[in-house]
Amino acid sequence: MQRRISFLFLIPIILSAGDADITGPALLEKIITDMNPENARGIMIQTITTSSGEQRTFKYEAYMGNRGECSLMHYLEPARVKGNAMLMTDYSDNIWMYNRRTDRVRKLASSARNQKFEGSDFTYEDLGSGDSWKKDYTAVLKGTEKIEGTKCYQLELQAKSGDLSYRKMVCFVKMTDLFPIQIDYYDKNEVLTKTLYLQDIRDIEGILTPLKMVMQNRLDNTTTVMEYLQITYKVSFDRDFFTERNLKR
Amino acid sequence: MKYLLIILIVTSTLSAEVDWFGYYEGEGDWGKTPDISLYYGYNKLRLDLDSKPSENIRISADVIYEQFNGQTELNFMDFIHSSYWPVIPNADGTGFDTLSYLPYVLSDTLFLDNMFLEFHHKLFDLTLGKQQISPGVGYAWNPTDIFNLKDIMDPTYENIGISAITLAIPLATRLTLTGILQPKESWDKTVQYYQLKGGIGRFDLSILYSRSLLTQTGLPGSTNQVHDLYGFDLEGELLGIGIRTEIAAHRLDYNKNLQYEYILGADYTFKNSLYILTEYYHNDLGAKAGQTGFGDYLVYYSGERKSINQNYLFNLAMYPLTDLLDLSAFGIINLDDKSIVIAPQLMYRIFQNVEISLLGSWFVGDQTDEFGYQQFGARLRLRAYF
Repeated sequence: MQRRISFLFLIPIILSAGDADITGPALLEKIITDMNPENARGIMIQTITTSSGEQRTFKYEAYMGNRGECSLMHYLEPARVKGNAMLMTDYSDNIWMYNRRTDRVRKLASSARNQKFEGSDFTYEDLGSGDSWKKDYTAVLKGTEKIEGTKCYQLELQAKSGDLSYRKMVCFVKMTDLFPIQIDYYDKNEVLTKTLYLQDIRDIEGILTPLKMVMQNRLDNTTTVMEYLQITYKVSFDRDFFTERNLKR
Repeated sequence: MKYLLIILIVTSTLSAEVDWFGYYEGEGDWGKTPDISLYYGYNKLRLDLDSKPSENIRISADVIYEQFNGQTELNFMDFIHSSYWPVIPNADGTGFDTLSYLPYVLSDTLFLDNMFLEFHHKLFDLTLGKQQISPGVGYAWNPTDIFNLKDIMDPTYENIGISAITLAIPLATRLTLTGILQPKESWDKTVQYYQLKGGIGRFDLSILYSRSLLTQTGLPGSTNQVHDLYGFDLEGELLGIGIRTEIAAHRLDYNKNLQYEYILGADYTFKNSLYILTEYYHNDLGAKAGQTGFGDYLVYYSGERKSINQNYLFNLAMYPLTDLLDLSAFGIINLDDKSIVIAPQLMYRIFQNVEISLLGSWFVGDQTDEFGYQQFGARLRLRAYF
């Protein structure tokens, strides 16, 4: 199976120099290769601002293993969902939701993966590294562009089939370290629907990490901000960690 | 075991950080039959505490207080058409009377809902105490669940804890053997439940066996018989459609053939976020069409059987009108007597931890049908978490 990009732990990239001869596929390969750390554990805050201006905040403890193949999220706040959890394995091919109060685990069908996660502007697919970009998209380097004064490669990912959630995505990748700072998502009619901004990028344990990610929904006029309160890559999990057993713990 | 757990909870409360949370729930219900109009409501407070005195031990408990108001002294017979009312010997033994009054009282209660200790070891997970046990993959019905009563009008509502010992042994990735014992006064009466659950690709499946005593309430008294259950469930997807099935084969005594109870279900989420679910339920133990009697209502309402008749269809549709407001509707069809209940619902998350829901229900059928005797119903529920 193709390795897919994780947005759950977006997006640590090992520092590297820009390459004048880089091509679209090579740039995508570079991003995908470097994007997923072996393991990670963090505490995240997700703040959703609805179109009416109301805010909802969720706090999670999140674990990622085997370079994004598996992830596990335990809800810490708000009280309404405290103790619930979500498990994704096989690059989000399998998703389970756990309800603490009923002790019931439900497996989500893949048709639910392009739905909003807890009403946010991230879909389950976005969070669970659902997009198999290398497999599903053709990477075309469109040139360079300045984003807020930063010189970037403009990498366009064009869908290979009409069944995908996004018709195309445009990644703006810093030329200095090949780190994406903005991704535009276009729907099937090539309408710009969402933009992801990667901000507050810091070196955490030798890995570049955007501590703040802002997903702006341009159709619904809503915004979701995901921020790390803590993150470490100096953890290890065995394969059995990402099972229903730990989903319930 | 109960006292041991209380001691553990108290000591852990003193020695470790305890997490407190819960919710308040207020509900008002209204119902209408041809003869009566009924109102009752309740205030409920659930207080959870959770503690992890060490990495491998978790102690959790919750207390529930429920205070009822409105019409709290009900007559069970008001919910059944008079043609089902049985004739029984009268008190002085001089003749027979029609049973027209069977009291059912909603009393204020304070009780320990769950209270358990989890011990996690590399080789096993052990849970002792009153705990949530939720077998099965069905949404509206769970044929393999011998522990809980599901309210068909509110199937996702939490259940009361079960006093049990649960041992789960992971045998491999996605393969777990679980044994549950629900101790009774003797081993013969102790409930045994064993499940082997595994996963293959996009499917989870399990096989199980349980032995328990099944109580059959009747007039004039109740009977118990050994109940062996052989079960299987499967949950997964085909072509993006979620599918689930759950099968229970019951052997109620060794002189009769197996009797089957099963569900077949599917769900799908459309790209516009419309979610639909359908579930077909069959129960050999239920009454066949045209053969429903008072005893069927009695064992159903006492929770000893999951349905009055044999064949049902449950359909649910849910659509988020906004990020905070969900519209849903479900319909339950009794395929044997052709009666139907349709229930639309609005759910609004007013604040981060406050949600309010309004459910209406409309019953269609002849007065002697399961869903035909009641006419209308409504439920307003407010829940605030803390």
